[in-house]
Amino acid sequence: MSSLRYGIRCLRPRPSSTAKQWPSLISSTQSRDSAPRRALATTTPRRQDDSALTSALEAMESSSEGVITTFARPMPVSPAYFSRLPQFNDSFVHVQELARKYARLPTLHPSQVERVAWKTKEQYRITIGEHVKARDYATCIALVKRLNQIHPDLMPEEVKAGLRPFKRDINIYLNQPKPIPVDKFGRSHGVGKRKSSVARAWLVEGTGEVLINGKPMNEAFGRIHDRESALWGLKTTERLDKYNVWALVGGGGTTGQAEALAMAIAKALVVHEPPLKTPLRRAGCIARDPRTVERKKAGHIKARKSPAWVKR
Amino acid sequence: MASTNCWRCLARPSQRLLLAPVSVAAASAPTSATFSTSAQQLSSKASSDGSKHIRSGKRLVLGRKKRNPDRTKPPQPGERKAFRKRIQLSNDNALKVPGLDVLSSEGVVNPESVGKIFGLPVEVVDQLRACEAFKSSQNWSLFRSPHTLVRKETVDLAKQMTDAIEKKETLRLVLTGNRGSGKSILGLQALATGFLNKWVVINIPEGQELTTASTEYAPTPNSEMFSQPVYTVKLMQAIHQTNHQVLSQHKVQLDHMQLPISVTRNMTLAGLLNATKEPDFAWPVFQAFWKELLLPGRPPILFSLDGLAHIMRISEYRSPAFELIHSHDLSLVRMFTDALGGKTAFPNGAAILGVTAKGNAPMIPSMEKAIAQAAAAQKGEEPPSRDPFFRKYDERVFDTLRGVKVLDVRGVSKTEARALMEYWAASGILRSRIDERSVSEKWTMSGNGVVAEMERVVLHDLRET
Amino acid sequence: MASAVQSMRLCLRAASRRAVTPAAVASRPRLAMRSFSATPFQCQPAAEKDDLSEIENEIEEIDASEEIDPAELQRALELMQQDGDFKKARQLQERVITSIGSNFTEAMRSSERPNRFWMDGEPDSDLIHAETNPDRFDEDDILSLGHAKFEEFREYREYARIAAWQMPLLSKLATPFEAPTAKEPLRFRYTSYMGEFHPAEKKVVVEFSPRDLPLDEAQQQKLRKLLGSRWNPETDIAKMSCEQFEHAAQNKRYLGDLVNKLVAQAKDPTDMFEDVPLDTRHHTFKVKPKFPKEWRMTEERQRFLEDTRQKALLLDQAKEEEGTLVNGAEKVNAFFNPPITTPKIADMATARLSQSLSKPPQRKHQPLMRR
Repeated sequence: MSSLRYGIRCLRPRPSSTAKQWPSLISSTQSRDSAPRRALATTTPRRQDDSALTSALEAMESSSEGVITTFARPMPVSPAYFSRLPQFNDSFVHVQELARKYARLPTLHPSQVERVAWKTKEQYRITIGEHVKARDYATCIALVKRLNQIHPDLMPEEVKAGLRPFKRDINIYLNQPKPIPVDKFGRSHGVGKRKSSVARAWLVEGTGEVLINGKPMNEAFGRIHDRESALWGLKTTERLDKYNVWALVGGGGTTGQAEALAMAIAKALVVHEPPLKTPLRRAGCIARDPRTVERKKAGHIKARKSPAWVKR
Repeated sequence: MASTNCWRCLARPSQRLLLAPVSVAAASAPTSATFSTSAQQLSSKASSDGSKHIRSGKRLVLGRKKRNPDRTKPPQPGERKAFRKRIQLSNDNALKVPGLDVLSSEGVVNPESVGKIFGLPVEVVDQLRACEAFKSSQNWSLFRSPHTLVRKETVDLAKQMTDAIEKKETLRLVLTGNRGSGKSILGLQALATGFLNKWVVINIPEGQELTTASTEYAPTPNSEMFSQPVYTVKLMQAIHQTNHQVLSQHKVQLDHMQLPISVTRNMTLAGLLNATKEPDFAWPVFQAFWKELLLPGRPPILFSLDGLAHIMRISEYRSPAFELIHSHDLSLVRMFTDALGGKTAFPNGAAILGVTAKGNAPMIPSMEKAIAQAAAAQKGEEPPSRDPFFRKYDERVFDTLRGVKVLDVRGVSKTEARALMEYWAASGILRSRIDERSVSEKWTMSGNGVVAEMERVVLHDLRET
Repeated sequence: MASAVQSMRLCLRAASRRAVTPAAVASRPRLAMRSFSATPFQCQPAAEKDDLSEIENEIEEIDASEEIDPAELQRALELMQQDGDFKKARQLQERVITSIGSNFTEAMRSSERPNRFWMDGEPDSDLIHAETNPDRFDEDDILSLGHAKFEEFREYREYARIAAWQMPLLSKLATPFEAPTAKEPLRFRYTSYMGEFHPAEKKVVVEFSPRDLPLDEAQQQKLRKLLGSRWNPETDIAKMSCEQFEHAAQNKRYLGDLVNKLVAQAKDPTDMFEDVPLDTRHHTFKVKPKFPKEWRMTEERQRFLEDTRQKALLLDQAKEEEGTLVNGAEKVNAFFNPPITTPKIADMATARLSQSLSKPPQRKHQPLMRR
């Protein structure tokens, strides 16, 4: 009987509070119906059990009818409300409808479409807070991309709005790198990194002199290999006798410093001569080498080395 | 029978009896004294090789390699050093470079010869070799015959020397510069200039040899100085060999009554040098020779020493009181420092060259400071002051280097570098086209034309191909 | 126990026959007996049942009649003490009471103890009950957690109000920055921990430059020598600190006195320390590499560079035309494959042609060079 009571309590409309509702209900029951008072008692009456309960419920409904609304609970906005992924399902269905609707609009070749940064699966999950399945998201985003190929002049507003939840807030493809200027002394500045070394190089047209931390090349790098790798960008592009290099290098060892310097010089060279970027990239001077020392792990002697296995 | 027990391997006697029949024979020998082992040993020696230790049981033998005793003779004492110090001045595998001039006394001072390669005359090569101007660290063995690049500094130095000697003045000069910048080669070129100009050339090839207690020394009587007789004999021989032509034209003018050998007036200076090979008499004779040289009317002198830092410190010799001797108390060193410090008067003109070294050189703060002060004074700048709180400054070093001229040797220019590389290419060392671009590349790689570094860079390329 | 009761009853009976029994004496042992007698009275023989009821009746009678003659009581007591039975009974009773006294108190205490094992019947003062009576919760209020949340919001809002209404008023109190004048050469630094106690709070640091003090050149130099390692030769600023006293003001006073003393000593002309060199060993001078000025791009420099490039180009061209451009590989090849014509360097072109045609023989000659 107590469970029944709880069920009845749950059924009551939200805005009203039980404390006031029950007495009024009881009073109204008493006043309007001729149902016996025992029906609401906790002790079970021996006879006409069911009939009493139904009559009580009826009484309750009839009492609440006039008080607030006709619904016992608010209607969900979306039919997908009770599914696991209501938002995603809504937008998926919407996108599918759009795709069906605008399937015949002329499209651009994918290479001609302006690049859009779509949300990745993880990003989408985080924004809507639903654990979207990878497969579903993949099919959805394929449809979205297909819709995005519609010619921009004919793109309906509806589609634009429909695609919005899948776009990243910031389109990274619109970012423009900050141009590095050549300063009033004809110098261009480049920064390079490798391992834990950082190099800053100032490149100015000259006769091929090099000063690293104020020292000539042979004092800065004892190994000829290092000297060569430091000036690799200039050497491969045959610009060694056209520029003077003034550089500051710090951190790491000699190899790291030399290769950081190679990157810095290449970047500074690109400022003077932008068409050299591709050959320099091919020479391996533009890309930052991401390899660094792997961290040591707990339970290991080094990063990967395990302690020697000992029987017992 | 206690002696049958092998004390080393601690085998049981019974076992040993079974396994080692040799010792059984020994055991069966008459045992007059059971507790004595001497008879036992003697008898076993007779029967078997006593040096071999006999073990019982199986022996683990790893690898049945037989050691062949080296049949070749071990090198004689001094042979290794001689090999190390060997100077090879020609290489038949190298290509002959045609069309190069030979160095002459006029060519060295001619500014037009800057940036050209000159061959050294054969007699000068012999003289330079005799006075040990060539060093094993210099790659003379890569080329068919010794050639040198005449740099701006070479002409500058030669001009300074000839000018000073023409005016009967003394040029006191210190060559400094970074490691591998060609200081020693410049010293060699100066020596060559001296030989070409028929000066009396005295060269101490390594200052280190005088102060590291590697030659004998003896106190000079009636003074606090120490002479190095063996080295002096060697030096006298070298001077005689190199300057024979000049010295044989001059005769002894002074009476040398105190000398242990008889010196007559009709003796030439070369004869004086060659008069004795006795180390005990060497230093007085050398002193007499030096006195004769300083007389007016004698040929000008070029006195050069490489490795200046080594003679600017306390030597490793000990006095009879077991105190370390200052290098300037060694008489030969004193002779040089007096000349460099301007204490000796040269009526015929002289050039005193001190060549610093960067490779094998102790850090001498006083010398560095003195050279910096001299360089600043030469430029007419304010000389850098000494550190007032540094105690170990050596006043004698400052005295020696006061007022010397300093020639700072740096990297070669690009035209000089080009000449050098063309020479290398023509000799067959460098197998690439020598144009401005490749020259510039090597010049940059070598830290703005440091010669030794250029050589390294070029050979680095050679190694790769 | 039963025998004891028996004897006591006999005794009481005897007393009651006399018709004088003090209520206190009679009632106390009976009560005590009853409370911890293991054997109930029902186990008495049925024959004696009348006696018991008789006695009870008698006691009731006695209790009812409250007036007791003291003389009669005295007499009764004397009689009782003379009676041997009574004496025995009395002793026994006392013994029983003393022996079970401890049990009795235990029993008394255990009646206070709650009968539950987990002691949950007892109200615990330490325990905080969110709802003292959950059944009485009227569902007209939020939980205390909610109240705490509200309190948090209230706090936020309070600070927001302060930021909005009171903070702007602080600008009225702001004083414009005034650069220290020449009369204020000392710069003090204090440390505040915003009202918290901290041992470093008392520290005061003073910075000054000897140049700003009213001293002439020689005196300034003397002051620098006096300052020793507190003086930074690169910035020409001296820095001293004090935290030896309890309060910042005391430390500041000390520093001020110290500076005054230093200035006074610097002005003292008896010994100007001219023979003592300025000590800068405590400071390492950092040499910062500078971009060479002669590398800066100017029109002049531009012209020079173009000139040198032009010259280099011309030199190469001239050498090539002249035939003196040295190529190491060609030299080596020319040595191993000497041209049939007159061996001149000018005939390089033909030599090269023949070499390119006859490469294998060149390879053959290679060992010659090695030898």
